Parts: sequence; C-alpha cells; structure tokens
Amino acid sequence: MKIRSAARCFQGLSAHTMKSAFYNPAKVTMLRFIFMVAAVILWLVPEHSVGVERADAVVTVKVFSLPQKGNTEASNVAAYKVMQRFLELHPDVRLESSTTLKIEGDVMDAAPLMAIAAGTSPDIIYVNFRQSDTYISQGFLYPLDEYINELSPEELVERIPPSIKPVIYREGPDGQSHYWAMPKEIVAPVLLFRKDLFARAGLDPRKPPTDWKELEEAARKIADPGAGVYGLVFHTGANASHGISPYLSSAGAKAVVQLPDGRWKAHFDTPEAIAGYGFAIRLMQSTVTKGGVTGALAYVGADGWSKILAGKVGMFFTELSESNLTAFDPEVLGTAPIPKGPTGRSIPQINARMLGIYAGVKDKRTRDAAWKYIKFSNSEEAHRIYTRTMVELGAAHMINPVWLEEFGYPELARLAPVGLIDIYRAAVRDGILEPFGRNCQFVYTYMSAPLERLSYTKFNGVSDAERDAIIKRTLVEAVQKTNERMLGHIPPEARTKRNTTAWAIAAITGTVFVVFIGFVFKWMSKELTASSGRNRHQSVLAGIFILPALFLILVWQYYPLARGSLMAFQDYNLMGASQWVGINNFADVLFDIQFWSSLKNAFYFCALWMIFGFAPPVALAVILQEIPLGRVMFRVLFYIPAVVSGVVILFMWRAIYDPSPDGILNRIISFFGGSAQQWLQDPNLAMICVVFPLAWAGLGPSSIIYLAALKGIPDELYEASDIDGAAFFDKLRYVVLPYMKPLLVINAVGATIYGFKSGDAILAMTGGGPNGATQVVGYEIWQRTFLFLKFGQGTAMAWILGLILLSFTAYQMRILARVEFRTTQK
Amino acid sequence: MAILNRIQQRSLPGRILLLFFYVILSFGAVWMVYPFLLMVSGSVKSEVDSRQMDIIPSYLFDETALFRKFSQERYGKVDLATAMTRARDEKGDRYYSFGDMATPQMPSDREMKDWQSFLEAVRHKWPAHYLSMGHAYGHRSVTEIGFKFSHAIREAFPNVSAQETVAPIVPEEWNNRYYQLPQGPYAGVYRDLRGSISPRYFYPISIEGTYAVKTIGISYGTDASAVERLNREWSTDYRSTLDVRLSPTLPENAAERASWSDFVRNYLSSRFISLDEIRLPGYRTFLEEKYTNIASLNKVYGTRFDSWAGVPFPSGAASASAFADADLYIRSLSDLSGVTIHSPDFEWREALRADYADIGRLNDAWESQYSDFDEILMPTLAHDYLLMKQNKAAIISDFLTRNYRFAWGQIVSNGHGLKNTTIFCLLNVVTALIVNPLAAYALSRFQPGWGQGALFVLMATMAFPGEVTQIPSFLLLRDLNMLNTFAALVIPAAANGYSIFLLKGFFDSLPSELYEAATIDGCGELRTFFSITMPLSAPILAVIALGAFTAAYGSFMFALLVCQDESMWTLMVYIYQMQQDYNAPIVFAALVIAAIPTLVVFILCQNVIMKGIVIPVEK
Repeated sequence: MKIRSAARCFQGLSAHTMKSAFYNPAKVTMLRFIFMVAAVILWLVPEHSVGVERADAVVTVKVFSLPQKGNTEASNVAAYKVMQRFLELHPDVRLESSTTLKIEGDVMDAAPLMAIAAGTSPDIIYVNFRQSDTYISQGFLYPLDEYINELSPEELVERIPPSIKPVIYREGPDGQSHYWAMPKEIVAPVLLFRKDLFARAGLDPRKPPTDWKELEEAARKIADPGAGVYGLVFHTGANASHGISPYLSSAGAKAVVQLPDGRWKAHFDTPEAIAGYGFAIRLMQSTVTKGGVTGALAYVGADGWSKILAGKVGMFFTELSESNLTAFDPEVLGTAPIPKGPTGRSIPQINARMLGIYAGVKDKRTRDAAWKYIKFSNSEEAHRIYTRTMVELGAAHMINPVWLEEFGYPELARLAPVGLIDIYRAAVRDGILEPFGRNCQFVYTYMSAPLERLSYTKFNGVSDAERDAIIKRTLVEAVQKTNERMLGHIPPEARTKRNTTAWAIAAITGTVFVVFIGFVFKWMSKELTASSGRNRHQSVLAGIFILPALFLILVWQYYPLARGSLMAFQDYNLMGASQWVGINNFADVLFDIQFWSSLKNAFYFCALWMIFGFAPPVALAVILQEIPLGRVMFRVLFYIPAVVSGVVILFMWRAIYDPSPDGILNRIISFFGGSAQQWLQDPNLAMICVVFPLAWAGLGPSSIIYLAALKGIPDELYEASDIDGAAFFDKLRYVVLPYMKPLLVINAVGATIYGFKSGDAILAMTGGGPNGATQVVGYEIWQRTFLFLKFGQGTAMAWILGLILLSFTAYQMRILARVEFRTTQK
Repeated sequence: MAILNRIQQRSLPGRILLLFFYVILSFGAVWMVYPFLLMVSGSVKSEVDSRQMDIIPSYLFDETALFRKFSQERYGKVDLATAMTRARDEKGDRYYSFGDMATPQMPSDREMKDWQSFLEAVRHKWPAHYLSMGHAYGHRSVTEIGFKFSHAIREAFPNVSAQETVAPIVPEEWNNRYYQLPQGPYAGVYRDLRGSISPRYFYPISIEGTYAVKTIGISYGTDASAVERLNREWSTDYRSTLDVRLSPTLPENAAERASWSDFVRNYLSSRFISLDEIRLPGYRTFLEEKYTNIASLNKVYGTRFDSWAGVPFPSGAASASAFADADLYIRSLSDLSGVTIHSPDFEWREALRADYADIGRLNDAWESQYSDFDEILMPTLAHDYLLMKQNKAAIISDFLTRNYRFAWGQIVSNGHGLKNTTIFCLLNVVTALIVNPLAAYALSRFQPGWGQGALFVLMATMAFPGEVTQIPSFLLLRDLNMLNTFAALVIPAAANGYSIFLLKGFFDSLPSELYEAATIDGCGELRTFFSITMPLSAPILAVIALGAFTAAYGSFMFALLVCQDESMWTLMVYIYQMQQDYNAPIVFAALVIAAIPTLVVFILCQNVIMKGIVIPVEK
C-alpha cells in the first residue's frame, strides 16, 4: 500500500521495501470488496476464545513474534538464546510464533488485530502508545493487575518507569484503573548524521548541530544538488507528520491534550505547533545553489529511506531502543540529540514497545505462562544472556553499554560509540510521551493533512506574520476536523440543525428509492414471460434446482445488506455494544464538506474513466476486426496486462510515473522536447495518472467482448449496405452501431457506476493525495470506515452514493429486462 | 466479417485507413507489452540496476553495468568495496553508490601476472582473515554464495523449511574489529562452504584501504579540498585521500600520527596487529589484572597456558575473547610505539621487493613510474575486473537465472501454496458450473409461476450499494466459523443473479424440440440438464469455467483476508509474502512464473472464449 508507516520508517532500514499491495486493476469490483473488508477486520473482536483448555501438562503460548532459528544475525541469535533459556526454566511451556501476514502501509499498526479478528490472535500481543487506547477501550487486553501486584515496589518502578506509567496504568472499559501491558523497552528519537557527508561539506563530525539554526546551516552546507545530496529528508504520505514530530515536540507543541473531564482534544494549532510546522515547511521548501545547480535542501518524498540508504541524505531522525542502540554503522553515522527548538530545549517524543496478554485467552494456565514469558523476556537474566551472546558474537558495540557494565564487560562498554547511551538517557528523561489518547493511532494521519496542504502552499513574497497566519488557519481547520472525526466532539446546536435537515432529506430519498424499486419490479415482471402453467411436480423440481442459488444469495447478499443497513444508524462498536444514534451519521455526512468534494472528485474520475476506460476497447475491437493480418497476435498482446498479477502493474506504473528527470515518462517527454512533470505528485495530473493504468489493464479483456459482438453481425447486413455503396464510416454508423447498441448502453451504464464507486486504485497509488486531489468518494468511504472506524458514517455514505446511482442501476436493469443474450458463434 | 469489403480494402482510402489502424495497434501494443517486458527484465536484475527501467538489462552488453553488479555482489556495501579496492571517480573522489562505478584502467599484463601468481602463492599460507569471501551478502536479495549457502543448509538439515534456510550472511569485514564468522546452528555449514568454493570468490583484505576510507575519509573527507588539507598537514603530495599509505608502525609526522593512532585504537582489529617483545609484559599485566589467575583466563580463552609469561599476543586462530582483550589493551595504550600492523598490502610490497629488488626494474617490467615500492597499491579493482571478464559467461548466466531458481525453489518448496491454489481453482470452477446454471435451467425449462419473482429476488441486490454488505459478509464468515476454509473462498460469491439471468436467456434460446424428445425418451430432469443443456451450452460454460479459474488463481486480497492461516495460503498470498522479505527483482521472477499458467490458458483458449461470450441483443 502506498502510505508508508512512519513508525516503520523510524524503526530503521526495514522500511526500505516495496510499498505496493497486490492489486489487480482488471478485477476491480471484486477487489473493492476486499479492500474494504481489509481494514475492517483489523478492528473486530472474536466472540469465541482462542485458548482452549488442555488436559496435558504442556501449555502452548502463541507470541506475536519469536526469534528464528535459522537467522544468523547477531541480535536474533542472542534473542534465540534468551528464548531457549526460558524454555529450559519452564519445561511445561511451549512457545509458538504466530504466523500472521505482514501487512504494510497505514494498516501496519493494526496488523495484529487482523489476526484477532480472524481468530488466530497470538496470546501475547504487541502494543505501543498510539494503539494503547484503542486496545484498552475495545477490550483486547487482559488487565495484568493480578500479576503486576506480585512485583516488589522496586521492581515495579524499574519495570514501569513512572514517566510512562500514565500510559500503562489507566482506566479501562469497566471504569476501573488497571495495568494493561508491560514495557519491553523505551524508544526515543535521535538525530543521525553521515560523518562522511559532514567531512565533505567541511563540517566537523564531532560537532553535530544542536539547535534549529545550526541544523539548517549544516543542511545547507551538506546539500549538493549537483551530486544528488540532500541535507535533510522529509517523508510524505499519511504518516508524514510523524517525521516532523521532533520539530513539533522541541517547539513545545503537543498533538493532543487531556481535559480535566478525561476527554481528549487535538492541540496542534498552538503558537508552538505553528513554529514547528513553520520550520519544517521552510526546510521542505528551501533550495540551495551550488556550482550553478539549484535544487532542494531536503529530500521530500515517499521513498526517503531509499535515499538515506543510498547515502544521499546528510541528516535524519531515527529511534534508539535500549537493546539495540545502533542499528546503523557507527563508523559512518554519528548520533546527536534532537536539535533544540525555540524552547531552548531538546524535547524528543518517546514511545515504548510493550507486551500485553490478549483478552480472548480463556485458559488461566495459558495466561500464567504468557505472563511468565513477558516477565522473563525483560528480566535481568534475559538481559545477561542477551549481552553475553552479543559479546560472544562480536556484536558488543550494538548493545546497551549499561548492560555491558552490569554483566561483566565494563571494558567493552567503553568500546561503544561515545555518548550514545547518554543521548539515549537524556532523550528518555526529557521526552514527552507519544500521543496515547483516544484513536491516537490516527493522529499522524490527521496531522499530516495540514502538512501536505502547507507544503503545496507558495509562500514566496509573503511576510512572516502572514505566513504564520496561513499556517494557523490551516492548523485550526485540521484541529477542528481531528476533534470532530477522531475524538468525536460536535457542538449540540450544530447536531440539532444537521439532524433536522437529514431527516427531511432521508424522507425524500427514501420515497424515491421505494418508487424506483417498484418500477424495476414492474419492468422486469412485464418482460419476463408469465407462467406457462406447468404441473406441480415440475414446480417443485424447479424449486429444488433453484434452491442452492437462492439460499446463497439470501445468506450472502440479503442478510449482509440488512445487517449493514442497520449499521448506518448506529455508532457501530466492534465490541458488540453498539449505540443507536438515529439519523446522526447521515446528518454528519451531509454536512461534511469533504464528502461533497469527494463526490466532485468522483465525477471527475468517472468522466476520465468514460474517456480512457470505456471508449478505447470499443475502438480497439473495431480495429482488430478490421485488419486482415495479425489479429490473433494483437489480441494476445493487448491481453497481456490482464495476465500479470495486479500489484506489479501498479508498482510498475508508479515507477513509470517517477517524477525525477530519469523517470520513464519524463525521459520520453523530454525526448519529444517537453519538460519533466510531477505526475502522481501533481494535483492536476494525479487523477489522470490513476485512471490510465486501470484503463490500460482493462483494454484487452473488454475489447474481447466487443470483438465477439462484432463477429455476431450478420454478413447480409454488410452486403446489403455494400450494395447501397456505403463507406467505412457509414457502415459503422448504420450497421455496427445499431447492432451493438444494447451492449454499448449496458456497458456505458456499468462503467459510469464503476467510475463513481471506484476507490481502490486510489488507495494503491495516491492514498487520496496529492493535497486531496484524488480523494474520490469510494476511497473516502473506505477511509472513513476502516481507518477511522466510523462504520456508521461509512455505511451512511454508501447509502447516499447508492441512491445517487440508483437511477443508473434502475436504467440498467430496465435494459436488461428488454434484451436477450446470445453467443455470436456462427 | 470485416466492415470494409475486399474491394474497399484495396482501394486507396481503404489502404490508408488500414495503415492507420496498424500504426495505432502497433503503438498500443508497445504500451501494452512494455511494462510486462519491464517486469521480465526486472526479474533478472539485482539491487544495483533494479531501478533502471530498461527492457534489455544493460549488463548483457555493457561491461560497466556488469561490473557494477559484480562489485555489488562481491562486496555488498559500497564502503567496504571502496576500502578494499580504493575505487574512485575521475575527479578522485570515492563512490557512494555502486551504480556510479566505472570500470578500472587495466594495468600492464605483467603487473596482473605478478598479482595472480602472488595470490596463488599466498592462498594457502595466509590466515583466514587475510582473505574475505565475497558474493555472499545481499540486502533482501539472494547472492551467488547466499544461494549456495541455503542449498548447503538444506542438505545438511533436510527437515528445515525452505523459508528458514535463507540465512542472511554478513559481509566478511575482517578489517572491522567487530566482525566474526557466523555462529549458531549453521556455522559448520558456512565453514565447509567457505573451504570448498573457488578462490575467485575471495578478495584480499586491505587494511590500508580501510584506513583511507574509515579514518582519513571520515576525518578529512574524500574530495579535492580534503586532499589539499591532508597534504598540507602531512607534508605529502597525494592526489586523493584514497591514496593515503598506512605506516606499519607509528608515524613521525604529528598530524599523521593522530590519525594513525585513532585508527589503531578505535577501528583496527587486533587480528592485524603484533606487539614488539618489549610491550608484551605490559599486555600480560593487563590480562593478569583482569583475570587474576591463569586458570580463569584459560577457561575463557579455551587454552592451556601454564603461566602469564607464556601468554602470547593473539594471532591466527586464537579465540574471539583473546582478540577482544587485545583490542581493549591496544585501546588503553597512550603510546602506540611497539605496535606493528600487518596487512596483505604490505606483503604484496614485500613480495615485489623480493622479486625485483630495484624499483627501476619493476618500472621497466610494468611500464610504470613508481619511485618506491611503498607507493604500490594492490590491484584488487583491476583484478576484480579481470575476474569478471574471465568468467563473464558464467556470471551473466548466473545473474539471469538466479532469481528464477530462487523464486521457483520458494514457490515449490512451500508445499501448501500449490496445493491450496489447485484445490481452490477446482472448487471454484465446479461451483461456478453447477449453482448458477442449475438455477437458470430451472427458470428456463419449467417456467414456474413464481419464476419472475424469484429472478427479481436474485437480481435485485444489484440495485443496492455494494459497500453496505462488505463488512457484514466478513462478520458472517467469522460467525459461521468459516474463516480459514476453502468454503470461505468459494461460497460467498458462488451464486450471482446476473449470471443466472444471462444463462437463463441463453437456455431459452435452445430449441425446445430437444427437450420434448428427451421427455419422450423418458429422460429425467437432471439427466436432461447434464446430457442436453450442458453440452449444448459448452462454449458459454467454458467461458464461465475459465473466468472462475482465473479469478481463483489471481485472487489475492480476498484469499488473504479470509484465510490468514499459513496452511491455507494460496500461491499469490505466498508471493505477496515474498514481497515483504525480498527485493523487487525476486518478486518479479516469482510473478513471471505465476503469470505463465494464465497466459498459456488465454492463448490456448482464445477461440473458446470468443465462442462463449454472450452479448445482449434486442428481443
């Protein structure tokens, strides 16, 4: 999927992966179903338990991830030894790694929940700050009080540092405070810089920048457009704002704050946040000129990590953790604290990797065993074994020097890159907690939208005050949206007004809907032949024959339809206790500007689809029918895109759309004398760029149908027109067109409906960007439902969309009732 | 029949029109095939060239491109390659990416011959850490040695799964003090492999190059201004900082001494260090302070020393702990006199000195202008290039096939994938051929009084917004405990009102006389259905079956959603999984393999498809 998880980025090199999902543009309707369900399941709680009571002595505990036997990387071998020791100590426990699929992109945080939904959840699950509230409030986690209360006070303080306790010990769905998870290690961001690029730029690698001013100066010196070297990097996508959080936090800004009544409010429109955003935007938009070449100061793009890995970025942020202080080569990369902001302080935003026990574990023995493993994996003994193994493997420089000192290798501790541990400790000490309030796993998405918008805003010739005002306006709007959507605050007066309007509209549309259905039934009954009065036996037999299909359709279409319709009137909660909210969802949607603008975008998409998706196959079929030689060959060639598995197609098209001058399309354009384009990153071109691959993939398969239709035209018709002396276009007009009309009309209507609903290509290619230019209604529904968990609103939108399209659907069915289907073989 | 008749085709406007059509078709066909060819071409690439979008991989005809790939395979990391070969661009600066590397200038034949015979002579004499095994490290990719390694593991441990045999290999950076040979369960396999492969996979470690890159390069930089500063401070006249010579012992010049000491203290592994006799007592005191008695040292080192006086400075096959202690000792020294560095760089010079005695003689033989033996660098880069040229065919064919061999191995050996895909496809085809046709037959043949009502019920869901049903459908699957079963894959989409409608229309058009004859012959309804209706509808059913096959075969997201359990993954899901673990070229290779069945089916069944497509006609 397109959107890179910032969390993943921050964790290190593994983010350098292919970011596209498997996707087949040729089979879009089916895929839409899939994409939609894809994220929803992330939020489901199974009603049945996973832990099964066992009679035998051995308890099996499923862990979200375990060290692998065959992986010879030092850290893995060390972790493996720790696990072996645990098994030695607890022969009655068996550990099993849960094999869930690794899903990337914006659903990454929620990936384990997919397993929960499918009933294959591990017993020990991974939790971080962002997810914690959702996990707790949805009841995924089992309270650990009974276990944690056994710990001595000293151990408790050591295991759960007071600074992060507010995240771990807090109110659950039952209104009581509980311990919900055990921290495994605290992670804190630091600034990494390439020593070689520093030296190249004449900077002293021993003196990394300490504040914003120095950071910008250093970046300016390092950046060398001619050599493709950048001073800094900014990631784009739904989690782009995570990348600027070191600026925001050092400016003193906070994403959300908790009100005295316990509710959360978005808080990133303060002067501090404006300073943070403003600085980041300035860096993103700055250019440098060296040796006559002008280029960007910072690399801004979705593939920032590939630039970092290629050694083309001077400075970037990453996260350090206790057990793995240097995932990077300390010879090449130096480490420094987050630069100080206007506050004069370096304030990192810290997070912790935590382990919790899945609430669905019903067997107490499994739970106890799970706790033992959680406790052991962060025990002194585990640290000792880990340290010893790492030392033996010659990887001592990668681990926490404190552990080295503690476990008898003080001399090796001195080998560790100087100052690393101090930087880490200071970060943990001075850091603020990553947002852990309601739905905060989405806070970066909400904070990224204004960042993206501002990065497209031109600030040339604008005074600082005006600039800040623009930033403020954008942020205030975003905060409002966050409060409304993520945190659910809507003023009561607005509520009443919205609902009244919504009722009125609902009444009208409901009536229209019923009338339409009535019409459709009438058309269909009229066209279908009436009973010819067969005997009773045959009628029963017919019933038996038709039963399987009827049953399947009732169960798999009508039942979900009914159940789904109810959801539109609920504040649907996956836990089962959903509240009826009446017309609220419809009201919110009707008053949501974004919904209407997504509808507008859908119109545009649909229009483009008719031009590029609907018309070309018809023309292709006519041409293929016309040429005397090479028909079969061309047919196969045009069919090839349908054979290649979907993802790759989109992956490849994204490469074709590469905005750099070396991108394929840009090279072709410059060959013909044009100038390089931004393609998917250009708000004006993005939509066409999304439509084109879809049209391209569907061209061959669709034209086959028209080709079959053309073959069905009786020769006599042509012969007759020949006698009349008709030329090519005359025949096209008076013979081909009338014959093909029913097919063309049915397909045109189908294409229109598809054009309106389609959203999955957007997910795979642009994620609604740039700057909302491709945010079509289909994708809006997907996002609303599955990303923001507004099932009710999503369903309400689907209904509204369905009603808009109803006339098309009805028309389609009317034609269907009038035609009959024939093969065209002669 | 074509719209243009024969005569029109031959007329001038007809010919122009046809020509125009051919131009359009050719242009379109290029666009159709181009991305596919990119994929095929991408599947035989590696990290260096995977971002180059060319239809014919450039390494097939361009030696520079091949050399970049070869170097990347050999060294894995560009820093390591620079340290070992001191490769540089035309401005004298180092490379930051393999993709920028150029082919080296070849030295005289004589120099190359001298180098080859030198390597041959020292190969068995040198300790293991003087020669590193290359072609082993790849980030999310599979290297030549990596591929051999996983094969060797599979042979040694037949019960290990294919996924697990892909054990990552770290580059043999002997020059780095932290490097060690792999430990753990497969260490023995690695050692055996290392001992059995051809010498061409090894390259000599250059400590001097490491010094130039890791210490000088980082503290001075590598470009022109850096070398100026260095020359000023060191009173030298190097043309690039990469040319810096490493003194085996503590140098005189103060600035040089600082860099040298930094390198020896903080970077260099004690494997490459020896201590003068005079410093040994100090080293032994250091150990004594740490271990107090010789027995505990023996336990840690796995040795049998009788007294402190017998403990030597570690060398050769000494234990890792001994080297770690030695590193610490060196680090603790304030004065590094008495420390001597050993490296293949120096041995090469010594060998030349012994052979030629006089630099003038060497210059004559090599057609060079050295003023001293100490100026001579190891011609590793040129030798790499020579090795590449000598083994060009083998290297190219390995590059061309490796991703495919690897992907094929992963696909075949995962077991479940192929089986699940086959079962899923079969079930999908069978269901598609029974459920909808049966219902359509009933409606067409018996025309029951409630027929149109039933058809309406079957088709009416088309009018409802589809998004509404998606979430509940999944919930239903879960509630019915159908997740992770083939039923979940096949059943939800098995019945389709539109298909029934299409089929009913088609069945209506079959001659009713046949049915009457069948009834007279006493044929039951099921038999009539299977022996009259179905055969008569063969083309349309074939299209339905093909559609069901391709849908099941290509199904990915849906299969992933409802069958998350690994034992239920289909081929496409496995390939998706590979995409997480490997780079694009390997995934491309897997996808090309996976695309073959669908392509073959389409090519073979084209005519069947054309015959079976139904189109709407006005009644």
